[in-house]
Amino acid sequence: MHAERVEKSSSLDAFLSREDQEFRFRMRDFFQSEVPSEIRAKVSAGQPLAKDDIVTSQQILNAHGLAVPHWPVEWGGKDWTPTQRYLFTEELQFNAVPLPLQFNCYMVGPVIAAFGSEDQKRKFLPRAANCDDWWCQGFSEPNAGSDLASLKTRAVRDGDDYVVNGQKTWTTYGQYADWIFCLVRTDPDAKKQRGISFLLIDLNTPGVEMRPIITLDGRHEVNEVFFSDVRVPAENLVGEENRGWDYAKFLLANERSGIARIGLSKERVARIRRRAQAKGVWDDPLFRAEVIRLEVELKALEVTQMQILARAGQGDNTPDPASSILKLRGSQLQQRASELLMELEGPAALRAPGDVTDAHGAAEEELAAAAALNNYLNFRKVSIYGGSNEIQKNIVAKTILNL
Amino acid sequence: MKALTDEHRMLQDSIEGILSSTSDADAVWTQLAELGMLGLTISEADDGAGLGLAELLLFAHGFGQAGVSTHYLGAEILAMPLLAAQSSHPAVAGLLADCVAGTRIATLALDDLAPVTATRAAGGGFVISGVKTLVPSGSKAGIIVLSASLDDAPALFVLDTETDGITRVPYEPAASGAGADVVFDAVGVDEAALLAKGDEADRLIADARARGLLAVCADMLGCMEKLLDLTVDYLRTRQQFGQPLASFQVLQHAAVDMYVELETARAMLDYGVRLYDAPQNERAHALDAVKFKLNAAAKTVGESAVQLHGGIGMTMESLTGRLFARLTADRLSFGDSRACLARLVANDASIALS
Ligand SMILES: Cc1cc2nc3c(=O)[nH]c(=O)nc-3n(C[C@H](O)[C@H](O)[C@H](O)COP(=O)(O)OP(=O)(O)OC[C@H]3O[C@@H](n4cnc5c(N)ncnc54)[C@H](O)[C@@H]3O)c2cc1C
Repeated sequence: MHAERVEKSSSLDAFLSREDQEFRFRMRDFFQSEVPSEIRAKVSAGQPLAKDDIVTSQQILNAHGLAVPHWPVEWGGKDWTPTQRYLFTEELQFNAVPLPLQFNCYMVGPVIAAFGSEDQKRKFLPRAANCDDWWCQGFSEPNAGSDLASLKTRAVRDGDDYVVNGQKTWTTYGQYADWIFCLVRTDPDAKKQRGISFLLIDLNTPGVEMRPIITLDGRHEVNEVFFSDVRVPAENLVGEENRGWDYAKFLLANERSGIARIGLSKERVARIRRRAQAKGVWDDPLFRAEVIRLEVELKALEVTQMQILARAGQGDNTPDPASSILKLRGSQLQQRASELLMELEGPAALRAPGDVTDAHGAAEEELAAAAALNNYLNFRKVSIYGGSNEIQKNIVAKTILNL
Repeated sequence: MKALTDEHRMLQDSIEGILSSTSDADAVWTQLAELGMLGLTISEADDGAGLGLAELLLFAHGFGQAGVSTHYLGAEILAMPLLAAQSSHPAVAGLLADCVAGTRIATLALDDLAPVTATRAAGGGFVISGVKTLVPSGSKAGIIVLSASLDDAPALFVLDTETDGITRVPYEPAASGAGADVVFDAVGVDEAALLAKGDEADRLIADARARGLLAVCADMLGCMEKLLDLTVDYLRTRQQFGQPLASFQVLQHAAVDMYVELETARAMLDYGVRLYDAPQNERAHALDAVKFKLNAAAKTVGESAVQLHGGIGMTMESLTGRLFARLTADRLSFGDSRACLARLVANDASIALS
């Protein structure tokens, strides 16, 4: 059954072995047949997802052993090649399946698996993989954004506990979370990066307060988290005290894999084409030209990614210099796609009817149009978080061009 | 915008005065009425101030700077000058005075979601059906002026929004200032509701669209000025890596790019205002270019303002964030770039050589 489809598959498969192509189709079949179409429809219409959508989808993946393929095998991972991991994520995004919760699967999970105690692994990893615990990331502070190492939240050892005081901010989905993994300062006298530790904090502990921050799209996606005299058992320290910066760097390197979000941009391009055709905008050669420009750049990035993966399969473990451009260019393309989606809707994107079951039908059309404006506004974030575009360029200038 | 006269400066001071006391659309409106600042372009004979477009735009600009939503676009920019132009019409008598006093809000509905047509009723008068969309202040207005096709020609009608058969579907407040779709389900009106038809209606509509476009551009200019101010201040005060952001040259250059866009956009708007009285075709062509330029500037200035603020620029609680959202909505109002560009491309006349 797959053989025939392999013949007709994309030009990109020139970079893929037959096994990898088969793998890609297996994943595609799985996503399309197992993940509820209502959830995927929400994603591809640009609708905000409810907590349950994300949990449900991740639990389906996990039931098939596919929530955390990049983890160590003993904790539910798969012994896949880098290319297979990439294809998995790309197919997942292209088929509008919600990404398994980043904080669980790509951030705290790998850190605990690599540096945590056996007790921590047993206690947290299976629940993180199944989204039984919802984790959030407590790194940024009001005065420690790009300059993360200047963070001030203090943790002071007191008997069997740490006592935590301070503030985190921009905590994505903190309102859904059970746990937060934090970078805290344990040695204020050491040099910036040296005095930082990686601490796991139960959000139900007395002294933790959360305040919503409403973003430009009118949604509650991020939060401020305040800690006053929060007692955290010392057993929740990951690895060694004052080594937190190393773990954070490991986490960020992990986060970077798949950061180009090529599958997501491809899904957006498909959405642009679909909506443009439905609205008759596809007949406008000026608009089509803009979509083609985006597609050419997306293809170039995708091939770049494939080549990086092919090289990674072969050899030593030094990070590929080209990988440092993935986040930067990937963000630019995601933002351009979100802008084209808005432009194709035109003024109709300004209509966000309060009552969607309105008098004159066409609710889906309206939702897509209103979502387009909000997505454009919301996607300004991708060039800010996870290392802003400016910071990415600083890194490339310094580490690759040796400037 | 250009060199200000003393009169403009006084107007500007009053705008700032009002906006420093409240940011609520209805409250701003009441204050404008109390201070006699509504109906500026209405002739003195009709209880107005007899001022021109430039003064109206000063207000639009001020509201943009402050990021305050008002009924200005629908009422003062679009509907009231149109009503004033027809002040001898029996349906208009009395209405204008109410509008100037602020007791009723008028708006103008131009865009159709479903074709809006008027047919002649057997016993006289008309029956109007169809759906208007993107009606500014559409959820608050008491009077709606709308375009409709009558005998296959354009026509303008004026209606009370409480008339039977009218349903309003407001947009979410986040989206735009009290905007709405307005559904007309076989709405019966009498003969006097017909304000204008044929060429006269055409001309009134074209003038209103030109005013709307210029007002949105003035709003954008206000937003952009404020965004640049806020960004420059932020670069000076925000510290990362033990130094102010302003010390990073790449951020300085980004701010300079914002400034270049702002100043060229300001000039382009000035060009548009001067062309308001030009022949209709020439004006429409030039205004497409004006809006296209303002949209391009808005993209650069808005996106950079947010980028240079980092996370805080992404939030509703920051004025930067709110102004960026407003500016983005403005990009789509009265000429989105795709529509402007399509018309400019279809027209052989050169913008640069004319
Ligand atoms: C929607 C959203 C969700 C987020 N979710 C999370 C989360 O879940 N957990 C978490 O911990 N954090 C999260 N963040 C925070 C994010 O990581 C920070 O916003 C980011 O690190 C930038 O920090 P900042 O916002 O303080 O901006 P700043 O660091 O103040 O930067 C402001 C501007 O200055 C520029 N700049 C800074 N330093 C330099 C330099 N040396 N050279 C040149 N330019 C420079 C930046 O690029 C930016 O343009 C989120 C942010 C957003 C917007």
